[in-house]
This record gives sequence, structure tokens and C-alpha cells, in this order.
Amino acid sequence: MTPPAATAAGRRPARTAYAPRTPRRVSGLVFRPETGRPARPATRPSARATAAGAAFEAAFAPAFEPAFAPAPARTRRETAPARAPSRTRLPREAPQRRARSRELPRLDRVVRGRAWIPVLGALLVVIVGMRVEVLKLGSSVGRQLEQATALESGNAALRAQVSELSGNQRIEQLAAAMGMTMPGPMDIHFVKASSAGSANAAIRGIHAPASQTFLSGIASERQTNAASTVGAANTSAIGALSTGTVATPTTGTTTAGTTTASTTTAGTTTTGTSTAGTTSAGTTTAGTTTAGTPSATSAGSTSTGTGSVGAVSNTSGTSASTGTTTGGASLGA
Amino acid sequence: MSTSTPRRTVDIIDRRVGLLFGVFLLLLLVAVARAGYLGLFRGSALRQAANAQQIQTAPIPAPRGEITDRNDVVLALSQPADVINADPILITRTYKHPQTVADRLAPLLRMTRSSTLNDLTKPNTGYITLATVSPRIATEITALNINGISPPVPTERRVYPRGTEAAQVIGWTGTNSHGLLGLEDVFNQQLAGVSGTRRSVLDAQGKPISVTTAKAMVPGKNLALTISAPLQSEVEQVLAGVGAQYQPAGATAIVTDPQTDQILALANWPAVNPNALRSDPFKPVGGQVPAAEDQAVDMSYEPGSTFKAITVAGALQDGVVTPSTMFNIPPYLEAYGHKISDAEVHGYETLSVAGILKVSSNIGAVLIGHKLGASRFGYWVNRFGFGKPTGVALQGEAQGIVPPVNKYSGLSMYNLPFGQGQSVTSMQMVQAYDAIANGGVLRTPQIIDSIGGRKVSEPKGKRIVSARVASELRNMLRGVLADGGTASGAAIPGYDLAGKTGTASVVVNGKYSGSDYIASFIGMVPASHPKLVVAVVVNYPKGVIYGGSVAAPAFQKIVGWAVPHFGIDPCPSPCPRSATNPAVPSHP
Repeated sequence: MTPPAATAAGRRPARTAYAPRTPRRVSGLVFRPETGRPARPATRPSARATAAGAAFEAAFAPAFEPAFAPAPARTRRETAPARAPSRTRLPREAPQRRARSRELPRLDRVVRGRAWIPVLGALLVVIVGMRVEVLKLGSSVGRQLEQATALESGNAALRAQVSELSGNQRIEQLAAAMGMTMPGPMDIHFVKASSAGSANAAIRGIHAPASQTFLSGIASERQTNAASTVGAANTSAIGALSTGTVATPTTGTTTAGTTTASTTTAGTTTTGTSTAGTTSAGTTTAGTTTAGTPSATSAGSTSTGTGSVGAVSNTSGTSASTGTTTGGASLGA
Repeated sequence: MSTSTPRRTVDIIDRRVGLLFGVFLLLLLVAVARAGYLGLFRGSALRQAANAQQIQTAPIPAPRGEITDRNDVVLALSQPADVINADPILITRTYKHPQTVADRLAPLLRMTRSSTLNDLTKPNTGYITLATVSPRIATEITALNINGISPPVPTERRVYPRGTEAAQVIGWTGTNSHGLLGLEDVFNQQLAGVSGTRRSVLDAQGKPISVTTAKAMVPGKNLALTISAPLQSEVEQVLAGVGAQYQPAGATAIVTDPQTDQILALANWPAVNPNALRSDPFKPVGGQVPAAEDQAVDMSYEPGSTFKAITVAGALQDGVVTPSTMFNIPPYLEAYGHKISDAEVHGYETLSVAGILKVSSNIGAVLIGHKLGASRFGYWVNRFGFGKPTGVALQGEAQGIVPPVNKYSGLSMYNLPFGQGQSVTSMQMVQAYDAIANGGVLRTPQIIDSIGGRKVSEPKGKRIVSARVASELRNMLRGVLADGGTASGAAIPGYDLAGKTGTASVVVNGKYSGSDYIASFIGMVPASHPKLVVAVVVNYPKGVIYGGSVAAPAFQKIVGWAVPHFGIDPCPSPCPRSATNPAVPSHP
């Protein structure tokens, strides 16, 4: 087949005029040449789109004028007659809208008002703030948990410490270091304080302790009798009392001697140096009484007298009677 | 032409817009594809990675309940702690000189540098627990930022602030806070609680920004004992004194309130400190019983003369004897080739039932037993609770060995009435004496006062002897501490005491040993209406063997301390003459 000759017939003729074709959509409505209606006239074209449309219309008016008549911007009725494009249409609608807006209920105006902008902004700030606070709270919860754990740990340690410090042995050791010893079972006697005379005598025997003298006495005793005091404390804990020792009044002798010595050493007025009559103080009795006179001192009373004294070691006046009584009472209580 | 310029401009704009659209569309497609890939194919792995980075799930250890005494003195409690774990492989790879790491860690772990270094460089070990430390120390260790030291694992540490006090009763826990011995084991379920889990969302710095409880933690319940911590301490001191003086193999002491059968103190010697356990506290050392052993419940022994009170109680209740019934006591009894004699050599004498108890005559007890009869004797032995556990809430309670009546040999009624030929526990003896003390009602000894704040109901008990018989028996037991009694040395002037000594020889290789004895004393104060029952049992004392010399003084010490401590009237009115002049029982 002979190819076409490379003549003028084979060349593309020079373009002398624009071929009619569908304009590209820039923005705004899409026109369909065959119908002349907008494809989707759902929205009102913007001013810029309207201007572009006008420019387009002006440029292509000769070729498409019969077919391209812009549809009314806001019409949606297909049966409505086509209107000529008019630039004065928008200004004409403004008063109508204003008039219509005047007819709108107040709620609509509120809903459509610009006041929502700051309101929404404020709400946004509140929401963000709340979220931040929640995060802060979560973070603080973590810290609080750590703190709670630390406090629980500290509390448990303190409870353990309290229990440890309240141990008898520790207190007895401290008391022994202060010159006090635990009274043995034979050193504690119960005296009857039924008569008013005993109570009065005991009350008369009560004097304020001289703390300075007491402490100085303890200090001196601590130096001299430390070893024997500790020995007495240890011995007192031992169930070493042999058979038959109780019946003998050795403890009584020890007690009496100790009481006398303590009176001398401490220089305080003691409660009860020998007899029940001077040792009882109402229902509670302080002081050491001689074990050698059990019938006189123990008559089934309710008083708890705690004596001083190293009954076993017979330390020379381990402490003054007032101080000893206090210490003894705390140990025995 | 003037109209061509806008046309081209529009084309260019259109093309650019189209291009941009295409680019964005492409990007969108790429994003969608990427999202699909991440979501569908790698979703699981990424979710796990995100969780690991942002979400931390930590256990909330349930604090183990405290064990306290009757006055809320803490005997055992748990403290929060952290377990420090190390990765020796990582440490040896990271640090050229692990010694520097050990130097920094050792003081915090309270370990020696050498042992720390040994742990940190243990070969072929990927995980090792270094120590359990307090949270404060754990924080300090974490701050060191040592590569190879894992984040601390929260746990707890059991502490026994009173050390050796009631250690065999309370027991202790293992490293996982699980009870191993004693009440810690028996009540492990109540004490342990249930651990929870906490879920934390972490920020970029690893700080928690949201903490929620995934599983609620249930703390363990507190256990309040009937024990009085000060009395317990005193009793242990007394036992320590007995141990130091008589070098026994072991010793135990029980103090109860007979009106309620609550155990106020239960001590054992040798002592053990659960805060610093030896390698094996269950192993006997130096001929002593194992320190971990609660001899009060898990050791059976032949009670000896303390059992005579049971024989007499049965005979009194059956009406075969009265306190004043007289018996002719020969120097010895002979039965089936065996010679039954008393501890002290004597000729023919006449003793009342009260006198038999006072001087602890074996022959007299045998004669009372014969009068009672084997079947009735066996009945009373069972009636007083021997041969079966008391039911006290303590671990490892033995039931003792009591021969049934149909297994009695001809010799049985020649040794059973005075406490030979049968084994009992100290707790069983205390239970029986509690019944005598409270007027004849046998109850299960109680050591748990409350669990989780809820009081444990008191055991109802059952009456085994009449109040009259119990009173008569107590009155006769006064004579034991009176002048001429076997425990006269334990009397305290002004105290209305009653009790019974026991000195039982121990069977070694099928024969009663001539050197090994168990010395015991069980007494009560005040005898007219006892508030305290004290039992002291000393195993194999050296030197002195008699219950009146070894155990009774310990009883005296305990009573001498406890009566003023609890504010007990030692001799309520009318105070019998025996209390102030302990020579003869005042009644009858």
C-alpha cells in the first residue's frame, strides 16, 4: 500500500480557529454543553468562581453563546426557566436574606452567631486543661503510691522498733545500768492497807525526790558496782533458788540492809525502811519490806509493792528507794 | 490574541492541581497501604512493643498479716522490700572491671565486696538474686544505673522484732514469705492475703501518667495471740537461767489462764532467733533438742509424779477415796519381779491421800490406783484428754502414748498410776491441770485470740470432774508447796500456791535410765481460785534431777513476776493458813 504522499495533504493544517470543546473546570459549577445546566448546582459558587466564570464566558462567548448560558446560581428546579446571567443578582439577594434573618427565631441567631467561636475556644481550653489535669493526677498518683510504699515501710520499721524497744530484757538491762535490779519473787510482798493509820503513815513518808542527789548517787554507784549490778540482774533471771532457801530469812536481811544503805547513799527520804506500817500508801504500796516478817506484811491486800534491791547480789544500796520504787514499778507493771 | 493567555494559565493551573491531587492521592494510598501493613501484619508485635514501652504491669504484693500478742505488741510483721537481681553475663560483658561494680554495690547490699564480686561474676549464670533490701536502698541501687542490675522487684521481708521470743510458737517464713514453721505455717492462708497487679502508663521519661489497679490486692489478716509478750519474755529469761544452771537437753514452760484456757506464755529452751537462723535449726546441737522444736506440743515424755493428781482426781470422783482416806505405805511393793519404791527410803508408814500427794509417794499412788481399778483408771486417763492431741492451734502436736486398758499388763497398774509407762505432752498436762484449776472443765488450750480482728470463739469444754473434787484436789496440792512437801522451796509467803512435782526417769534402750531424768512442776496461783497455771518441764538436767529443785524454782520465779504484773491477788480472802505459814494444808 502506498503511503500517503508527504504533501500538503499529509500535513496537519494550520490551526486557524479554536475547535469547540468542553471547557475545563477551574472551579465552580460544571456546565454541560448539551443541557446548559449545572451538573451539581448544590452549592452557591464563590465570588472567585463567579469571576472566573465570567472571564471564561467573556472569552468564549462567540463560539458558545447560544449554548452556554450560566444557570442561576441558587436554582435547583429543573423546570424553572433559564435566566440570563446577571451580576446584580447577589446584591439583590442580600436584603432578602437580611429580611429573612429578621424573621428567624432568636435561637437560630444564637446558634448561627459568632459568639460560638469564643465559647468553643473556651470549651476547647477547658477540655485540654482537664486532660492535662488528668495526666497530672495520674502522674501524682504514681508519686503518691511510691510515697505510700515508703510510708508503709517506715511505719512497719517503726512498729518493729517499738516492739523491740519495749522488750523486758532491754529495759532490765537499762535499769541495771541505772543501778536497779529486778526484785526476786521473795522480795515482793503484799501488805494490807486497810487501816487509815497505815495510809496516813505512808502519806507522811512521801517526799519529793531530790533528783540531783539521786542521779549523782547513781553515777557513783555505776562506777563502783557496775559489775555486781549486772551480775545481780543476770542472776535474778535464773531460777537458781535452791530448795530451802526461801524459808530462811536471808532475803529479809538482804532487803533490810539494802534499804538502809540506799537511804544513806541517795539521801532521799525513803518509803518504808522496815515495816509495813511505813511502807503502805493507801492501796498501792511502795517500798521494800522485810521478808522476815511475813505475817505482818503479807495479809492478802491488793497493793503491789515493788522493792528495790538486788536481793541476790545484795549490792550496797543499789538505789534510793523512791527511784527504785519507780523503776521497780515500771518493771513489774 | 488576548484570550490565549488565560487559557494557558488555566491549563497550567489545572495540570498542577491535577498533579498535586495525584501526588496526594498517591501519598494517601501509600499511607493506607502502610497503615494496612502495620495494622494487619505487624499489629500484634507493635502492640506488644508499645505496651512494653508505655504500659508497665507491676505486682502489688499483699502485705502479710502481723502476729501480735494479746496487747498488740508486734511479734512478727512484714516490711516492704525489693529484690535485687543481677545478670552476671551482662555485667561481665559490659564492665571490664566488675570489681568497681561490686565496690559500689556491696555497701548497699550489706555484703562483702568479695561475695558481691563472686555473685556478679558467677560464670554461665544469666540471673542471680543478690539480696532483698529496703525500698530506699533499692532506689539508691537503681540510681547507680548499672547495666546488668534489673529493676527492683517489690516484695516484703518478714521481721521478728522480739527476736527469740516465742520463736518456736510463731515459726518463720521462707524467702517467698510462705510460712515454714509454727503459726506462720498453720495460718499461712489467713496471713498471706492475695497479691494484686497495678497497671501504669508511662510517659516518655518513664514516669507514670496513669495508674490503675488491674487486680485488687487483699492484705493478709492479722493474728492476735493470747500470749502476753512481757510474760513470755520473763518466762524465756527464767528458762535461760535454768538452761545455764542445769545444762539440760531442753526445757519448756507454759503459762495459762485456767479460767479460759488461754495460753499466756509458751517458751522453749534452747532459743532460736528467726531473724538470724542457723543453717539448720532442726538439727540438735551439743546434745540438746533442736532449737526449732516446740517441746510443749511435739515432745512426749513420761510425766512421772505430776500424773498422780490425775489418779487421785479419778479416785475422788469415783468416790473410792477422800482426801483423808488413809493408806498403809510399805517400804516397797513387789510385783512380777519388779520392786516399786518411793524416792525416799522409808519404813512402814500411814499416809492420807493428801499426804501421798504431798510427799509424792509412788507406792501410795499405786495403792490408790488399785483401789480405783484398771478399767476406771484407764477411763480417767482418757477422760482427762491423754492419748489424743489437745487440739491447740500449734504445729506438730503429738498425742502421746497411752496404752489402752485391754493392753494393760499385770505390771501396768504398778507404774501407770504414778506416771510411768505412758507418754504425754506438756500441753496435755497443762490442759488437765487447767481442768483441776477451773473447777473441773476440760477445754482445748487456746493460743489464737483473734484473726483479722475477729475474736476466736472460746472452746466450750466439757466437765470431767465436779467442782468439789477439783477444789479438794487443789487443796491437797497446796501441801506440795507447804513445809515438808516436795516443792516447799518454791513457796512464796503470802501466795496461795498449789502444784505437783514430777521427776521421771527416761527409758534408754528399753530400761529406765539411772542418770537421765525429766524434772517437771505444774502449779497454780491462787489455789482457791486459780488465775494462772504454770508448767515447767526440764529434760535431762545435769547435777540436780528433782522437779522440786530444778523446775519448781522456775515456777516460783515465773509466779513471782506474773502475779504483780497481772495484778492478781495472790491470796484472796479468806487466805488459808497454808499461804502464810506453809506447813500443813488448812483444809480439810
